[in-house]
Amino acid sequence: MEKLLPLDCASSKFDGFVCVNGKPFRVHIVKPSGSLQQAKFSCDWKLQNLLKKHLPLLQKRLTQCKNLEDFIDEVQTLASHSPVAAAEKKLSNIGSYGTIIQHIEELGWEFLNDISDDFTQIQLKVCDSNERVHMLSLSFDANYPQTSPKVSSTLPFSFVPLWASGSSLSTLCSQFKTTLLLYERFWDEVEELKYNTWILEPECPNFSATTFRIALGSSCSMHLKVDPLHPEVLPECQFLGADWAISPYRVKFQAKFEDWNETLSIFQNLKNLLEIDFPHKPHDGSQSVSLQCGICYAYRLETDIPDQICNERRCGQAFHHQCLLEWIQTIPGTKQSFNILFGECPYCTKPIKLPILHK
Amino acid sequence: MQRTLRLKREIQMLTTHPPPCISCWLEEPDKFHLKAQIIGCEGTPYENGVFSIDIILPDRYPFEPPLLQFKTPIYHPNIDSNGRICLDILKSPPQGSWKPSLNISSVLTSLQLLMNEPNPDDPLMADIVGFLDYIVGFLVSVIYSQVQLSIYKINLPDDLKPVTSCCPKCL
Repeated sequence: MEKLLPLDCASSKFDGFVCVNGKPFRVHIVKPSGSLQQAKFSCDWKLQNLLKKHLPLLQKRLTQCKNLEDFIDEVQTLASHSPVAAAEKKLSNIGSYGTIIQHIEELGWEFLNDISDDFTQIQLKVCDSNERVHMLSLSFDANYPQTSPKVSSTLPFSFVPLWASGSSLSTLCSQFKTTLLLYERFWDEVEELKYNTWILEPECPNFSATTFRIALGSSCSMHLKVDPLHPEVLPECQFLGADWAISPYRVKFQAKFEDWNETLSIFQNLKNLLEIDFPHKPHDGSQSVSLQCGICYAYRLETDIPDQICNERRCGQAFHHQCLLEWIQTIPGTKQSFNILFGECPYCTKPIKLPILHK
Repeated sequence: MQRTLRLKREIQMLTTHPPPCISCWLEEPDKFHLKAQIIGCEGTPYENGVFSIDIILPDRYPFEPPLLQFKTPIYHPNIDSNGRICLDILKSPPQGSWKPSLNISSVLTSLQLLMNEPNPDDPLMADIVGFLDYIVGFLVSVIYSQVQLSIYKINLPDDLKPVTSCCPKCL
């Protein structure tokens, strides 16, 4: 064996070293019988600290491994993958802390929003010209400031900084500000939509959202996919809801989409094209009845939203899949063909069909 | 799950937009027990009477109809002496016509309508229908006396007490 040395002739005691991140740690193994079942593994406290999260796993491996050599390999892998080892590796160079603080000082402490306990992650707060606050998260490794810190932010496209030698947090920040300028018009448009229409999805749009579902009326909505860099051009539009409710919008849209005016906002354009007053989000949380499920009277049932819609034009009632399924399985007269149930809408008694499996 | 969601919303609706002459409130929230009061409509024998009704929402509500029972004695061909009601929307299909599109508010409104327009074709109390068929005028006075009786049997809060204790037709 290369890594372990037997200490007695019966080869029941072994001593050796395990190498983790270039540092050797002394280990000791006692193996009373021939098998590994009753073997005991001990090591110094530094290695114990690295292994403490993997103890149950380590115990299992000790009984599973065929020979001691495999087991030592296992210990080595586990120890080098432990989070403690990773953190130690991250900022082994003590000089980095000084550099980071110096760079924050240079940038101005007012930009700093949050800092992690181990000083490897910081969050910067950057305002754009419209007073919108953007967060830029940075995570440093040992090579900072030679290499760029890892950045993450909520932008439509991920922000990749250009990092050269001599770059610091302030250069990174000014690059970020320039990037923010690209999306300003887009965010203005989103804000106008948010203010004037009822955005069903996402519930609270953040700065990275580029697709929106907007309520057009009871039981119908439209899906918009906006290009964040060119918000003025015609976005991808898709109409959702009962056929009779959306077909007038679809017809208007198809007839007039060439009139899309790039100097107007998305909201204005949609308003002109569809000739519609967008419904507003109800303030008191009481949604109009037609948007809720007609059976449980709620909009959200766990995570489900009412997406089964009666196709009768005067009805258009929406239901949760779960609620409608339970009802039409309760009543006599429901027929099944393959995976589709044919029943009656509980509101208008017109035929309604429902797939048994949802999505 | 659906029962809790619905009850919350229905109570909200009953509080903000109650149906005319009907009040309904939650008696025991944990047991899904509600109480309602229907005020007898003008021009009917039940005028000025306040009729209390117990409502229990079963586990599978709204897939099953609510259970309603008159607590105030009422003289009516479709309501028996124990307060049980014969109304098709209070039974599940195929016998009845309950649907989840109905709710407590609409059931109570239907009940009010049933009080105004008794249904002699589907009687629960055959003797009352007998009256209804042959001596309509007499029946009216019988019902009136019953209403007066029921008014005095129950202790109403002062503000709910009828202003007139006697009506022109009551002798």
